[in-house]
Amino acid sequence: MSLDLKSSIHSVFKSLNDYIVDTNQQRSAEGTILIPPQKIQIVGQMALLMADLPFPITSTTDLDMIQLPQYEVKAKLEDLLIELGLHVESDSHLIWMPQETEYLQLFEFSNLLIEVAKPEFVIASKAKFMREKDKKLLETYHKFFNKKS
Amino acid sequence: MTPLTQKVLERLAYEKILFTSGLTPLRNRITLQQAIDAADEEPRVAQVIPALILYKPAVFYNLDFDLKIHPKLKDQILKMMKEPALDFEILGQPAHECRVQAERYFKFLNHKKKKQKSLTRTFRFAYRDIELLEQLTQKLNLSGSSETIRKLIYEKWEAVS
Repeated sequence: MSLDLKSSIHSVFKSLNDYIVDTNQQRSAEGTILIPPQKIQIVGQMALLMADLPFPITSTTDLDMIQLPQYEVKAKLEDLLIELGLHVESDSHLIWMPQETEYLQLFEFSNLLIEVAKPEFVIASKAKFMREKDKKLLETYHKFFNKKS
Repeated sequence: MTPLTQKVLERLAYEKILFTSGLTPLRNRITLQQAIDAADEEPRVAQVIPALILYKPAVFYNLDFDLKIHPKLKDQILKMMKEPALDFEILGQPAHECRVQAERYFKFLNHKKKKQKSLTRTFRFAYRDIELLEQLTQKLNLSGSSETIRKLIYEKWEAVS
C-alpha cells in the first residue's frame, strides 16, 4: 500500500480518537453516558491493500468493517474518510468472513483499536463467493504463494 | 501488470477513485479505451469508468472519440442512473456496483467542491469603514480585506458562542 494512503488513514483514525476523547470530556463534565472504547476490524479489499502483499492490490474506495462502530463514531469517521475519497461500507451485515478469522493490530489509540483481517482469511472469503472481479486476484494470490511454498 | 494498466491505475489513484498498492498517484494522460483495456487486467477499473464519464469526463483524453467506438456505453450509464432495476452489466461489471461507485464519487467531488468554494458577495461600506478595514489589514499583516473580514467573523463568532 502506498505509504501516503496508510499514513493518511492513520491520521483519520487519530482524529477519530481525538473526537472520542473530546466528546467524552464534554460528557463527563455534563454527567452523561461516555462513548465506550471502540474496536474497528477492517476486512475486504482494503484489508488486503494494508497487508503489504508482494503484488499490487487494487481497491475501490470502500472501507469494509465486520461490525460498524456506534452511530456517532461512524458518522464522524465518514466525515473524516471522505477527505481521502474513502467511504464506510454500510452493508457490513452482508460481509461474510470465516469464523476463525484472525486479525492483526494496525493502529492503537487510547479509545480506539484498529485491526485488519489477515490476508489469507480475506482471500478465503473472496474464494467463497468467486465474484468475477476477484478471479484475477485469487489467481495471482495462489500462483504467488504456491510458488513460495 | 502491464505498463498501460499501471498508467491507468496511477491516474485513477490520482483521482482518488481507485487505489493500488505500490503505485504513486500520477496525473497521466489516459483515454477511455486505455481504461477499458486496463479493465481486462484489473476488473475494478471497469467499475469506476461510469463514475468518471458521468462526473469527471475530463480525466479521459479525447473522450468523444472513444465513446463513438463504444456507442452503447453512454446509454447504459444513463440507464444505470435512471432505472431502479439494475439487472444488467456495464463493461462486464454489475450495473448496481457501478452505480454505488458513481454515487460515492459524486459525494466525494461535492465534498471537495464545498470545501474549496468561496462565494462573491457585495456589501456596502462607508469610506471610513473601508479606510479602517485597509488599515486593519495592514496592521494584522493579512493578505487582503477578505481575509480580514473572515478573521473578524470567526473571532466575533467565538466570542458570542
